[in-house]
Amino acid sequence: MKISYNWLQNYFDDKLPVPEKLAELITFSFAEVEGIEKRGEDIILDVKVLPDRACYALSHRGVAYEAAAVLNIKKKEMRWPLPVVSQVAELSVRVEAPDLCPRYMARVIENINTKEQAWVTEHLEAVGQRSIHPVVDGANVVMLDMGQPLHAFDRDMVDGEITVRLARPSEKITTLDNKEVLLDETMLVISDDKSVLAVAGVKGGKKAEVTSRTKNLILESANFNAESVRRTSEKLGIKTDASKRFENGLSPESAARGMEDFTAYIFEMDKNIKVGEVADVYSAKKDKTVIETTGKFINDKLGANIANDDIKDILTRLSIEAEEEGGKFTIFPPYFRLDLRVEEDIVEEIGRIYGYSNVGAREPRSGLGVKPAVNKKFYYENFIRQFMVERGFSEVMNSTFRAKGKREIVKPLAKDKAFLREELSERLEKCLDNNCSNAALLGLDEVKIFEIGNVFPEEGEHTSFCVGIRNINKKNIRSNDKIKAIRDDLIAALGVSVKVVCTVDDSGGQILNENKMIGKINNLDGIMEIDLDELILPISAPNSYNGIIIDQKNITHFKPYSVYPFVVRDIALWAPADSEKDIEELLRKEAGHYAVSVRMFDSFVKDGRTSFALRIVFQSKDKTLTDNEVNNIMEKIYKEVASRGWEVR
Amino acid sequence: MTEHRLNNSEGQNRLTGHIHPLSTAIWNIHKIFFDVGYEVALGPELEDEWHNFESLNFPKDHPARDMQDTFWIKHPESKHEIRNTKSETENKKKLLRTHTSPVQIRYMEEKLRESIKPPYKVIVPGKVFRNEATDATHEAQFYQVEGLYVDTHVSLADLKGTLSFFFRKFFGDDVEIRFRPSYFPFTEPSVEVDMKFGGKWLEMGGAGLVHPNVLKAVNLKEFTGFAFGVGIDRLLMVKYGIPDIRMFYSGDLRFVNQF
Repeated sequence: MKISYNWLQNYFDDKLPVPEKLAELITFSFAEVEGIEKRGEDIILDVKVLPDRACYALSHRGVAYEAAAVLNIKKKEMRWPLPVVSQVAELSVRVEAPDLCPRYMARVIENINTKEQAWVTEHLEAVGQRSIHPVVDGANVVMLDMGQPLHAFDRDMVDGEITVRLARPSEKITTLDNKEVLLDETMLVISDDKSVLAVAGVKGGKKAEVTSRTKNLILESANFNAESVRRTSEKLGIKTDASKRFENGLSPESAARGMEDFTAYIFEMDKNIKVGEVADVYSAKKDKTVIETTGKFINDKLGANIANDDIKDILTRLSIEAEEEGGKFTIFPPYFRLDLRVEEDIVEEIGRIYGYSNVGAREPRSGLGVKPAVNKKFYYENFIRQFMVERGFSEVMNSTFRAKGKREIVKPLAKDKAFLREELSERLEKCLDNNCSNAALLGLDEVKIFEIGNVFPEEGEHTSFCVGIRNINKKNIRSNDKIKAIRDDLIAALGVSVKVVCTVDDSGGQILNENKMIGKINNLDGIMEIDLDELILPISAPNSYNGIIIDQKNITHFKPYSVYPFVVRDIALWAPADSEKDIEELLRKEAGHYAVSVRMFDSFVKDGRTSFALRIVFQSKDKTLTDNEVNNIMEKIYKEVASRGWEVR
Repeated sequence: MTEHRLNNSEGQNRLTGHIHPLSTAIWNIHKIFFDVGYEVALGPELEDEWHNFESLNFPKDHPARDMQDTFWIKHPESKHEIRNTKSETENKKKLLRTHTSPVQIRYMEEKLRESIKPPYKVIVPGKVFRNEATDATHEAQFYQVEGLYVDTHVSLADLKGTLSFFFRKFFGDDVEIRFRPSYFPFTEPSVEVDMKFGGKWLEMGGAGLVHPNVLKAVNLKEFTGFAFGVGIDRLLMVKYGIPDIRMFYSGDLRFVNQF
């Protein structure tokens, strides 16, 4: 909610603290101020009012109420003089659905001749709204001021009486913004004898729109059922300032204040109006909320020691009436505080105004009581992680969303994210591809990865474990053999008695548990996927986490990697047998800062001479390296190598 | 890049693989809480409406639900939008859990089935989902850890002490925490938790005392408790200066192998 600092100041004789200070006080006692912005002579605070406090705080008066409480200063009652009621054309109001409309107030005003007022435009523009028509502006200004949504109809466009009822099948309305909207029988509408005038609490209609020709008005100030307004607004896809306030729930009492303020506003601008009686259909007058609590309860919850008098004082600052006797409080929240229902709500009121920073902290103590139980699945997931990492595998995590699958999302973020994954293998294979193309950069001859994550077949979900291996050079090494080794080692380490059924050459197969297929081997080349839940099902839970050591490597800061392509150059040379270190050192020095990796990948002895083969990977953080640049560096290296007496092969 | 980095990363690559930083973080969080009596609970990612919302005091058709952009899942057989099915299956409507809090309920239900009354001390690490546009700081999937302590006299001071203990263990002794008022349907009072790290205050999560309606939903209304939820991705982004949350789910070893 955009709150004008100047508007807020109108509520106080005391000077408010500077905006930054006020924002901080509000943030720590009430609601986060997300922004402070200068607009002309005014400062606009963007106050993030959450749903619980929206019943009173989506308004300048509500925020002023909070400012008064935290600053412990007096907020003024803002009331304008009201006109004397006189005889006007009769208006009758009927509410057919009182459960969806607890209160409906309407009044006729005749002989209007309102003119635009500079201060109204200013107020509206300050909080990012525009001026439309003096009467409409009045409804908006009053709503922004005190929170009650209001509406005005052109009296002369209304046929007969006002009825609040459910829409009829296929009934339509043309809204104020000239859109034809199809209604259904769950939607509450305001209608006259002929057609729909407005969608209750959501949007007004064109038929009785207030225009420059309007002479006579019907003012509306009503209370509509929050859930009903929300459902209607969601179905129609229409969100308005009014619907936003109604869906959070408002007190029917606010309707009366709204009607008063709206009338006074119009009277303020035009003293010649004739104002009729208010037609007030108030079916569901609720009993006042009473909450009983004690100082002890409040202090026990906060872990604080606040005196009863101080509790009383905080309640007074919040205009919450309270009777106290021997630490027992009987509390009567003001009508607009629909959020106060149970004693825990009072704990929050005391806590936030007292200040959470004044509440102490009690540390948890170790080594007391029973040892926490071991979560079997958590244990084995981490057991497997440790097992895999010890064998040189790295863990990846991929997105749950897929372009295909069995379980479909109602409103996906994108077409290729419309389903939940059924398996991990396919994406893991892509991961192998992607990482293989970076293998030189990573200094790897072989990409070995695994993933543990939940998958969603037709029914339910389970945790899946997937392993993938791919050799970069693809010669002499069969990934299948490696998969087989991992599979057998893991089964042995877990001590599970699963069966493996493979093709003759072991190029593919299944893992069976009691004849149930729980895993697939080499369904995709070099990939194995097992249902982890099924795999660990036969084993019992360990009685401690001992033996699992998962250590954070000694990293303090993540280093972003370059988005530019890298260039690989190999160099092979003859050099004395013990010069491995010297060669690497020299290469690193000469290759300069573009070299992200220098690595020996081969060496052999022939005829008493030693050959060393090294791979240098070049990459820049801020550009694509050209062949020329890399060649120049290599030339430098060759020269330097020669000067050492080594011979490039 | 420096020579030091070079040696370092190469040495590691050749010897062992790397655990994903989120897994390591979850393990470390578990260790911190295990020492003060917390066990780990896990729960489904595909959740029903009752556990994700109703039991946690989110009324139907209430704006509080807007705070959690939800991925609803179509009914597998009928292919109809499941949100429109009628009342008997209403609470069974499936969604991707928007927080790990439903596991609070599942955990308490399970304990009570085994006739085990509080105290309960549990942490729930796991993947959660939000239907919102992704950018460097927002992902449609991320990890959260939930904490729940239910006992006879649990206070906001216990919550503050526990979170302060956790953040100091995770980030180092010089961090501070503070509370700001907030709103979550399942806690009352509700607070935002900020942490001061490297001289700056950062939003780290939400917390509060368990709302009596939640305890009522599982028939434990004579008890009290606190709950908190912290984004694990965010913990790591802060700790290591990771610039983009999407890196966690890139499957890229240039990322994973740094940890």
